[in-house]
Amino acid sequence: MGVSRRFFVSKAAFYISLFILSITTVFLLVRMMPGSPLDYLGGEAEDVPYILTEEVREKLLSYYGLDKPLWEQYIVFVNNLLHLNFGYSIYFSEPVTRILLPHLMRTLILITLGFLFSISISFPLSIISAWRRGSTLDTIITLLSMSIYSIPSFALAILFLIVFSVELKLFPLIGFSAEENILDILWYALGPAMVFAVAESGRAYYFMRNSFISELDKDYILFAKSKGLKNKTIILRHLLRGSLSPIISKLALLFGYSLLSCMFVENVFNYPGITWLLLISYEYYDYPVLESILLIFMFTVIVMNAIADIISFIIDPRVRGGWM
Amino acid sequence: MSHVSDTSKEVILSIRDLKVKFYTEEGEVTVISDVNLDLFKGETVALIGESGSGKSILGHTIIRLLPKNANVSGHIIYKGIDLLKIDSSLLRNIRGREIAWIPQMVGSSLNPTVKIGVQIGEVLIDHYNYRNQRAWSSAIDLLKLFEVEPAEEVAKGYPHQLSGGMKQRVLIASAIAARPNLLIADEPTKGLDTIKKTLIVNIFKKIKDLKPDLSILLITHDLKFARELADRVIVMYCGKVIEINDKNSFFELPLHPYSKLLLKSLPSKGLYPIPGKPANVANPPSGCRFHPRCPYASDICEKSSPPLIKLDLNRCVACWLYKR
Amino acid sequence: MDVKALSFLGIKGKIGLIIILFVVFIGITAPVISPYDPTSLFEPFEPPSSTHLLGTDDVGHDVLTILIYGARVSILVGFATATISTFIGLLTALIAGCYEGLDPIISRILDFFLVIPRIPFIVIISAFLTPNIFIVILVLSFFGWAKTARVIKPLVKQVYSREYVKRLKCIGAGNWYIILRHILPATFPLAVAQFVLEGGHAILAEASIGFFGLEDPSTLSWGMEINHALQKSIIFLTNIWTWVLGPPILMLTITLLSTTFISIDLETRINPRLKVRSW
Ligand SMILES: Nc1ncnc2c1ncn2[C@@H]1O[C@H](COP(=O)(O)OP(=O)(O)O)[C@@H](O)[C@H]1O
Ligand SMILES: [Mg+2]
Repeated sequence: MGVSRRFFVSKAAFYISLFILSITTVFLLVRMMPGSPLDYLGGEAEDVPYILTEEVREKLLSYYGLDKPLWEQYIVFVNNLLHLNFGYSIYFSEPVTRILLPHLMRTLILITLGFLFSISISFPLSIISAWRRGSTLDTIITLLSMSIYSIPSFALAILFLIVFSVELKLFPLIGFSAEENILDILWYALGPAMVFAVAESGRAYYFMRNSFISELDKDYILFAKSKGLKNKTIILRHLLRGSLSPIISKLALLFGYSLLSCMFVENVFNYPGITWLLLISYEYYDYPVLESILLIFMFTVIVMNAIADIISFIIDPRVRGGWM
Repeated sequence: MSHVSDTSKEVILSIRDLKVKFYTEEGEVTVISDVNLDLFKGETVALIGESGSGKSILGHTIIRLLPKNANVSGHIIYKGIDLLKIDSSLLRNIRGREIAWIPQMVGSSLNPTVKIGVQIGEVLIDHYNYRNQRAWSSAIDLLKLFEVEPAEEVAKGYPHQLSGGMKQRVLIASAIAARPNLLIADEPTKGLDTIKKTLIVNIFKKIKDLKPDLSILLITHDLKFARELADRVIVMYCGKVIEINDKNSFFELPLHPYSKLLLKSLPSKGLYPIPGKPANVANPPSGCRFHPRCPYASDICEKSSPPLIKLDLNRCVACWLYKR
Repeated sequence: MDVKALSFLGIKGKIGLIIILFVVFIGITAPVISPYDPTSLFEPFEPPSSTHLLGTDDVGHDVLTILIYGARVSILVGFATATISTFIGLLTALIAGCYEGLDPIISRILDFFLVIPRIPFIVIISAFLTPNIFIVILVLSFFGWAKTARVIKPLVKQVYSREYVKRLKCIGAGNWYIILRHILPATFPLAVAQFVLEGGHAILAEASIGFFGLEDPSTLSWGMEINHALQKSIIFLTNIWTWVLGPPILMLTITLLSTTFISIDLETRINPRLKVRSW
């Protein structure tokens, strides 16, 4: 029992230290960027300096707390984060949460939809491939997924736009409708989600196939076969259960990194999700928004790592046995 | 080809001209050559030989579990059906229900993520359409019979909670749950101490009581174990069958020079090790494969390989000394 | 697993190798084989003709010339980044794998690096310094080495705990002697596979930076060319996209396909269980 507690504590300490490190890195990088959010206040960079007198500038800086030394800003920043206060957007002049939430929701819709598509394609294919490893079918599927995996996701997105929006005119070219009706949201997310799904399924397929193959080589699969069990039993009970924990952990990790693929898809489709907002806030030096989005990026990866750990704890009795 | 045949007993399995090759990076390796033998209903045959002589491969071949890089030729006739020619659905019906196999790898042959009770009962569900409840109680009955106590608790647990001896018994229970007619047991006493070995001997006796007409192919290099359980003994050396004998006759008057030396190497007989290095199937000696280590070797042994000579109804040997 | 595994590639690997050598060739001989000087300007959006085999782009560059010079950037970035990050990653793996005391610290550092999202950070970094290709190479290597270290470390550990290494230590062989003479060679195939993989990632990342328009505007890369083309929505109104957008995307995809094929081929050689039928 003592061992497992120590294990648990050390894991927790590790994740907390990762969080702190991420927060610090993001803060330092963003705040030290050359340029200032005030350059863009109220319009394009060229116009502002004329309107902004030195006096107003000072006032604004102190209003946003940007006149303080960096370490003081850091303390304020961390303190705010601890109170789940993400600050006030300088460019949009609205609380960051108000700006972020709708964008975050659209991205989540895109990713979730995309992941559902991607897994419903790649999961069965990877089982078939692994089960009949070396067959023509396996070879074809693997080559195909490798090819898709090699195409950059922005190229896939462009291709999709050309085929479905430009040539066939099936999908809208613009990213989003003003109406926030759920069907509209889904409709606009569909194109990006499909591209996202195709891009991710190559990767997902490949690692799932490999997990299944190493699982199929295990002695207990051979023993299960020797017992004349139905293929269904072997696959569902022995193959899946054994490989579920590594696969779900890996999927959680993929999900964590999927914001990156999203970044390309959202920008090609002009889909106003969170990664699209990242580039906007970067352009206007909107520190609070930029910091929040970068933190979201890093936190999803960290949280997904933690979830992967927890999942293998729940599913795998070997790990569970070790813990309790 | 000479082989044992006995009209008074019913042949359950007969192997004819069996040859197993592996395609490896280094080229083709023939690990089993010209194996001919019969197994009768209800008897226990010990297959002995030093490690690397192809015993396990023979077991895998019978239950058709060889890896993809293996090539098999010859016939394995089980109840009139050639096992090497049947399709996968018939094979599935034979595995577990007609022919069962206890793998050599005790530690890794149970699925670590599936409950013990399920792993024992699942054959009954898949072969005889048992209800889950009934399969579960049959599993518990078997555990009780094999003295894996407390049976209810063990059935609910997972393999990592068991000791090596318990795992071995669970493995046996899992293999024979569907009451097969032929059992191939690959080194069931490997790595166990004397007390646990006695337990396993008792378990085999119990299995025999449960189903008197069960035939057992007992793969082992434990001569004491073979002596306690077997009716007949088959000796393999470097991929070939070199002697087939009745148990009593084998232990009193072994035929092949290798068998003689093997018996002399027993602790009770003074532990005289067999001189020379074991032959390697990848690079077998010319002629009789035992001739480099044989004290009786003559010119002919070096030049040509002796056929399996039938001495009488129950005894065969592959040695030039017996050629009149 | 030994060096021999690299001396032959399967058909996939060979195809990949031929393609990548072709791209390397184009990149190296760019000034000789390109039809025009990369700075010379013509009429914008001219369709392919005998004077401009692939037409011209939005500002009037000859697309074929840009394409050829783009190969230069991609190959240079891929090769340099892969070299630097494989070197650092391998070194880290060797240290972490052979000096047990350092392993926990190094592992934590690696974990942190693997959490950093590459592209967004490059976006931020591009505010500090306009990424010309050398900066791109440095930044990508900075983010790339950790993965290599992570992949190679377990192998180093495994080899280091082998019996013969223990015996060598007993005879009094120095740690670095063992590492260089016995462990480094054993990691060689995996390191090469990782090199190719990292090269592919770097090429993709460089193209992505270009795609977001963050590279030094004077850089003639495929990514930048795609970015410029996408700025002009007019290309979708007619078939202009077929020659300003198509070729750079195609070249990029083919190049990435070749690195994927080579690394998959190497991977199945190192780990034969994963093998697809070799046809
Ligand atoms: N997959 C394989 N590929 C090539 N050779 C193999 C393979 N499996 C087993 N062998 C070889 O077959 C021979 C017989 O092995 P085995 O039947 O396991 O011996 P044992 O009598 O100890 O059970 C060994 O020499 C082994 O090297
Ligand atoms: Mg064996």
